Amino acid sequence: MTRVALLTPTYWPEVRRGTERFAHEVGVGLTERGDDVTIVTSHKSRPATATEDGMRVIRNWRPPDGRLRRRMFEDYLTHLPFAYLSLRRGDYDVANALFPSDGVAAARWSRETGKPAVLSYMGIPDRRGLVDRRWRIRITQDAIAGARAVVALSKAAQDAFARWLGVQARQIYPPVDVETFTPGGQRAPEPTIICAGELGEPRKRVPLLIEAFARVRRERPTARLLLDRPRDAAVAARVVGDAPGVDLVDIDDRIALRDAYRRTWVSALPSFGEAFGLVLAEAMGCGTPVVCAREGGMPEIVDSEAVGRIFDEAEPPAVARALLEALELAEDPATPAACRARAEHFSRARCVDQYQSLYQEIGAAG
Amino acid sequence: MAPEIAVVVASHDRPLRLRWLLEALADQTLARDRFEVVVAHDSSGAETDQLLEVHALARAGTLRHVRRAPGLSPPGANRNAAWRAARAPIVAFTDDDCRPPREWLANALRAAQRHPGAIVQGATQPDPDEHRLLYAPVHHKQNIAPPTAWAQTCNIVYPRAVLERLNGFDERRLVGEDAALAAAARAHGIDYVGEPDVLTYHAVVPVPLPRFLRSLQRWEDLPLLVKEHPEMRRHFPLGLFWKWTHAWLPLALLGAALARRTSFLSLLLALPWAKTSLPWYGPGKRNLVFRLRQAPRRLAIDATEMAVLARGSLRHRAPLL
Repeated sequence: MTRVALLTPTYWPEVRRGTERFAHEVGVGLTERGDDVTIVTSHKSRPATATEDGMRVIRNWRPPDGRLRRRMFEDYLTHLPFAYLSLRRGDYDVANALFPSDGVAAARWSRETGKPAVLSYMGIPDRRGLVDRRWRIRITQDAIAGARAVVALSKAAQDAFARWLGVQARQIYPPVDVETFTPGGQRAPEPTIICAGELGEPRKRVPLLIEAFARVRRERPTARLLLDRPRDAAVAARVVGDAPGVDLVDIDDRIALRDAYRRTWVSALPSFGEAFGLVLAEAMGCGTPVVCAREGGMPEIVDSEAVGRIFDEAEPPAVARALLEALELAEDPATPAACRARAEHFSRARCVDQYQSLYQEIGAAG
Repeated sequence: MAPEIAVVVASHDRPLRLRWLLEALADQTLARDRFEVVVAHDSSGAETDQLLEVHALARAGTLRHVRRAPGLSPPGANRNAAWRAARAPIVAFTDDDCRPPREWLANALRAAQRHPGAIVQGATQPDPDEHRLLYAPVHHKQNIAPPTAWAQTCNIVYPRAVLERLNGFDERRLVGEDAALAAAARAHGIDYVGEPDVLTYHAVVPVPLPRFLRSLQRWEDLPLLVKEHPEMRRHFPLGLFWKWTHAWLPLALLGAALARRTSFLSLLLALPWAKTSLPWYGPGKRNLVFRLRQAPRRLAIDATEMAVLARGSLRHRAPLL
């Protein structure tokens, strides 16, 4: 049994993005194998400890960081002393940070206890991103230097580590919950596309998808596009406006998201800079073909035309063409099985196997 | 085929920025066989050497490097070692914290060919990818609209023949070696031109104030420049001050001393310094407040610079404040 501390600055239910899902899936996977997992995270309220899905979750206080953010400092710094103290108070064999600033706390803990730290980097490191915030370069370098292993989410991210930081990272695909995201139910009668990307996040390029979808509607007039409803209604109004055929849906909850994937014909993620593209793999788990850009780690998921389409140019005509082809692909009876088989390649079990091997290799296995 | 232009870089303990520079050089539009890259460094640790040995440019034979004893060599020493190891007849100098756009080297070569035998200074701007960091209260950057008298080596092209004739950079001084070489070249009748199209980007590096103040000590050698090249004085405000902010600072201090007696006059005396020294963040009350809050830092920087220059003026027996 290995005592694992997974450090993430935010966790469910406060934030439900890829990093939080990663923490949950890896944590649950390790727990199921008999490891003792603690998620060390933070929130804006009083410190709290709870047991959730068989894991201990320590939520430290995260003091307000608005002033630091306005002054262009790196995100998620204010909870670090508490994260470090949680590590010191606990009895862990390994501290696995999922964010560079937490990586600094893990590195310090590792230095002082002699136990190994791991940094799992949730994005694609590149020069532009590294210089975007004050202290980011230094924090990232310190976290890397103090980690016994650095993990990249895809081969694209691994290459970026070598190119921009000169670091030989290991590559482990993130866990996809193929037990929850399974095929089932009936497809919607009309051609339906879903995008689970955050509407207001420029990197997700949802406006590009909306423009492309207008072209899709010219050939498929009954087509619908489902977008994740943002918390801020103003964002929805600004991005979506009154585009015909576009609906906002609540897919924050995993079961709701799974049901949405099952109903839709195609899942699209037009983002750039994605290290992996978890929502694509989850949609494929439900037998739904996908559309994505030839950028970052996404082409590693869509490895054949049997499971989706990749567009090369971030222009509405190219995206629309990919969407139309994917809608046709969705009508092929062989597609759901092909998508499902591909999703299983990224199963939680496979990811957890690799993390357990890594922990053993770096001398963390208890 | 012999390279037509050499990129020469002096580096000291900045392996990450050097890596990014090499990536930008690997991405140039100019064909690989038309240029070479030579890096001379005195970095400690193995990271810089490792980078220079395994980088794609090194594997392709485009990049070579000269390793000097780790320490704090004057930048001129590293640059001399590098350009002497280069083979091309034209030498483009840049710094390890610059990131040239893809057309930089092609533009530099074209400019050098347009002005045969001349020194060509290019433009340098803060890296647009790092513009947000300009809001950091104290930062290091370069913003150069050519031609300037200072001939900064972050973006300048020399004919190799000129470097050989003048025996390269002065290796004794910590600053001003670039301006001194260009001044000597001009004195020898060599043309000096500016080419804004030869554009490169310079990093914006936020620096904590104490470290920034410590780094100012190297400017003690600046008075040596005006001692050796008195004609350079005309490029300094009133021939005596390094910057206009230094010229206005004594007035501002006088204004502060008179503040109890006459607030109007003291404000009037402080205004020129405040206007030239405090960074501009844009219109609006909030920006004005932010601007005024920089006053203590700017005051500390200007005062330290003047103190360092005063010491240098005594040492080199050439007044410059």
